[in-house]
Amino acid sequence: MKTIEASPSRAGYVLLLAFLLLAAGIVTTGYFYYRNHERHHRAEVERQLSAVADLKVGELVQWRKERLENGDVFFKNPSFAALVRRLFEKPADEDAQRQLLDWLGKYPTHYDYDQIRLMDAQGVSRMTVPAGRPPVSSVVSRRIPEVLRSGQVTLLDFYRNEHDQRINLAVMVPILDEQGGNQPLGVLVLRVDPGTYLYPFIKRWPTPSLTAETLLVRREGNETVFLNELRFQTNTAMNLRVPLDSTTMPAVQAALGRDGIMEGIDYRGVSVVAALRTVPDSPWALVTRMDTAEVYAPMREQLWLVVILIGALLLGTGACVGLVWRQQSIRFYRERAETDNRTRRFATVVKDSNDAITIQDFEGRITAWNRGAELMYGYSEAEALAVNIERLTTPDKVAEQEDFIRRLIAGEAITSFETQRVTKDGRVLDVWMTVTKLMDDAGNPIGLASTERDITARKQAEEKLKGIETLLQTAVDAMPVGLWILDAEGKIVTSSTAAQRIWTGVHYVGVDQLGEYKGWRIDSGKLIEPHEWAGARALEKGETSIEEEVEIECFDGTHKIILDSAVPLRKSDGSIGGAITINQDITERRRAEKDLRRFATVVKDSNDAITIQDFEGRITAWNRGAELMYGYSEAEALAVNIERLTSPGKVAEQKDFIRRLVAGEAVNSFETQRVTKDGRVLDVWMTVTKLMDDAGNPIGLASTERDITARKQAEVALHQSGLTLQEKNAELERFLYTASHDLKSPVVTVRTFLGYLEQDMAKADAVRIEKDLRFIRTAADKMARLLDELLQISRIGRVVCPPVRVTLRTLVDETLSTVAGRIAERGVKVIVGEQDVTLYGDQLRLAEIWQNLVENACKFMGDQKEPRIDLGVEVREAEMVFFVRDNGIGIDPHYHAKVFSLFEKLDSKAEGTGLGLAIVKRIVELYRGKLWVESPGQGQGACFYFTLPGAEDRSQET
Amino acid sequence: MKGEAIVILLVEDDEAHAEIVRRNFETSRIANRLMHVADGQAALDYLYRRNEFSDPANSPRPGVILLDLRLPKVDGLEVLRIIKADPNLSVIPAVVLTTSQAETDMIKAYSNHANSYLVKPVDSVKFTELMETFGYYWLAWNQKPN
Repeated sequence: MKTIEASPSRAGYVLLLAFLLLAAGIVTTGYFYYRNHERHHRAEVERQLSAVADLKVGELVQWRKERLENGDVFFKNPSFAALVRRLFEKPADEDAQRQLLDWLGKYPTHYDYDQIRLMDAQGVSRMTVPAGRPPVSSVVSRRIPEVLRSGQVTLLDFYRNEHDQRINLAVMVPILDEQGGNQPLGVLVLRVDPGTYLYPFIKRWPTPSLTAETLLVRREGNETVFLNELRFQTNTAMNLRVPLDSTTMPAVQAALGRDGIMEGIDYRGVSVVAALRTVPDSPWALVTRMDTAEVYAPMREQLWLVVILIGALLLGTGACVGLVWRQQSIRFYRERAETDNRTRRFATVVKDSNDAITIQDFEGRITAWNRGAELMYGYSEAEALAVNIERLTTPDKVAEQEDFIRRLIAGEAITSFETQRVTKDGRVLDVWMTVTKLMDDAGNPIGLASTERDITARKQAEEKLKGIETLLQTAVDAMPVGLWILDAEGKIVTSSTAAQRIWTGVHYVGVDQLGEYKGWRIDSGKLIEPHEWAGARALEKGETSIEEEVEIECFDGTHKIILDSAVPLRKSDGSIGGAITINQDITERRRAEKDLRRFATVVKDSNDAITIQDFEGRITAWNRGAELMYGYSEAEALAVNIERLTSPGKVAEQKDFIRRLVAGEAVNSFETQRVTKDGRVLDVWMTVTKLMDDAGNPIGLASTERDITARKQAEVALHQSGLTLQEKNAELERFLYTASHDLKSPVVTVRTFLGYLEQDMAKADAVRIEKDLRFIRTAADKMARLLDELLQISRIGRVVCPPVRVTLRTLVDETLSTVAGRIAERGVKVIVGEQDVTLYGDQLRLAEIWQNLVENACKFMGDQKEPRIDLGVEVREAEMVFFVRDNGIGIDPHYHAKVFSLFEKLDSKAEGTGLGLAIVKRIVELYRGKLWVESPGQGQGACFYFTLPGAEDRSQET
Repeated sequence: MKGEAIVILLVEDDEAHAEIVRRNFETSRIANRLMHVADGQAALDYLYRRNEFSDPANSPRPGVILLDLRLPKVDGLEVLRIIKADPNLSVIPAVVLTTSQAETDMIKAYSNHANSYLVKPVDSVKFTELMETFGYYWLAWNQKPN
């Protein structure tokens, strides 16, 4: 059916066209093949003709040259000329006669001369060898004077001897008497018979040929004269003459001096191919020619072969094409027969169909009407053929049907629609109409076939059912859970939108295909078999299942957790007529629960204290971190108010923070303090979150607290050590600076005064010398002392003696004995306080404090009449404060800070390097103490105070 | 002003250095009077004619101040700051003469309007040369307002 042709004739045309094209191709190819072959052959023949012509021309030229050379043997030969004169003068001279006969007699035998004749200047023959031939031709006699005049050996061209009618050529040699002033004596004539050599040579053809021949011609006036005997005509030499205007003749063209190949008509009136040549230094022209017929004879054979081959090919092609055409027609007719059969079967079906099948033309005239139509519409076939289709159309559907048909004819792809028809008795039927466009064989639309089915009953039932279904579906879709209804066979017939939402789609399948719905039991993890679904069990076993937890794979590949419930639907007789399945998506709930559980673990195990309290401060949750941090167990904590945990100073702060948080301010973290069960105060970093109930009302506070006490302490320590480091650095800088400056000063002094010393020694100024030396000594001493004390300073804190327990009294006694000299010198009264304490540290260093301070006090006594120093210890704010008080010159409050600096001296005239107090300060600081001075002003004494917390002996205290 | 000796106020705590300066001025032929004080406080007392210097006869106004930086009681830089802040005293050229070659000292001195900064050479010949040049420059060549 697939490749059926429209008709066998059309296929025939196609095949015929194919055959013609093939035939044309074959003929063209054959023609070109033959032409090509012919061209080659013709070229070959032309080459042959040219070669023969060139060969013969060369021979002729050679021949002519030889003849003239024969003449030259006699020409200007003095002995020959002498013999001739002797004979002419004395014709009876026998000796001369004999000698000449001997000479000339050789020639006719050796060469192709048939006669040699000696003639005198008057044209009289004097000697002839051999003798007894016809007399000399007048042609020769006439030429004698000319030859003598020219004095040249001359070849006399073909001529006919009028006496014997033979054709000859002649070499004419003038004989000149050199002794007699070149007097012409006569002419020697060597007569040539062309029949002996020349004609046979010209006639010869190197290959066998039926028509090939050579022509030798010359021009005489307006005529071409043939000089040789021809192959196909006798007695032509010197007789056949053709006028020069017969230009189609190759001989004429040759006589006119043309060279090359030409095609023309020869003396017989036959078409020939000819090669033309002129013979140099001669009046001759040569033609080699062959009949065109002979040239093309082999080609005719070829032509026949080609024609036969083409004919065979054409026959073969024709046969093939014919075979194909025959097969196609056979198939066509077979298929048409089948189609006819089918059509007949169809016709039966059509006729007996319960559907109304009608055919109408475009004017609406009914042309066919089957039994179905009769039954459906009540018109008999005869009645129907007489009416227009519009009779059957309900008035309101006329336009619709017309429009449908118009669009169908226009080519739109529409075939079926639902419409209405009127029966003969006036009932209106709903019909389902399928219309087909009918075409004639040429493809023009000629009418419409219409199949109409009465769907009135179905429509009514549908309407009714649709009402119920809509109601049901609305109810089902309104349910928040997914609902499925299975019919008695177990096929899913209804699903709610919620059900489709859960499964992301719906497959309306039977129980056996329930495997398309994939689910696993949550408790066992097992895949649910088709008949194991709750719905299937309800249907097949009457089981009622409530909320089985199932993990499903939806149709889009996602996984969900659902609760699957099912109940069987029982009919009035108690048998099962279906089942209802209900699905509830609990994925979100499960996930939230899981998150919550995970979260709870995190909270429980956190090292941070995490607590929940209500707005009255009642603790409602207390994690392990809180237990560890604050010491209250969970049970204890739940019984107390949060305020128990708050350090007293922070209650207001925390309340304020919570107030602002509840009010909605974006605050959640702050640093505060908490009190543990055992009373320790902790620094904590507190993050508070407002807790809401589901309605969004605040119900409490969740608080995360981190113990940052250690961190805070570390921070403070770090800050302090940073400060100390800064101070140390500054001091070091100061120290280096002042050391370099103060050390440089004595160097300047020493070197400068050494210069002066030299000058003064030169002048022998004893007073100045002594003065110079004193300055130098003083400077050197100062340097030595400076270096000493710098060393001392650098040792403080670096060189440490093991700490010992020592009383203040011991240290003071030691000091007083060391500086006893100075005290005595100034007559200072020293009073030591009653109170004694024990210190723990490097005894030597500690002693240095008192030594320096007492020394200083003595140094700055000024002109005090009753110098006095008080030593002791007193307690200020739970701190031991040591003091060394004097009643000396005192210190202006301006300079109180300055006195403790390195190298600082308030009085330039005072002895010392200014390092004493700096040393004291370093030692005191080593014991984490403070050193300061109090003095009301100049002349009112000074008191140095210091503390030594690092040297306090705790073991004695308790 | 010609013929009248220019007063030089030398503020120097080191007796030996003061002696060096004194000797140099004695040997050079520039007529002058050298007044010597040993600390910053004394220098200020001199210039403001206070305490022991309250008698103008003992404290003639100096034409040049030669000032050491490291001084007892009141530091040289402080002295410099005070006199340069005083419109009456600021016109007196103040030349720093010190052993310190520290960059910070120089910067501090110049930012307190020191007129010159001289470093004491560690060589007697050079010291002499320096003082001679100082004398020529500040006492002979330099022009001062009346």
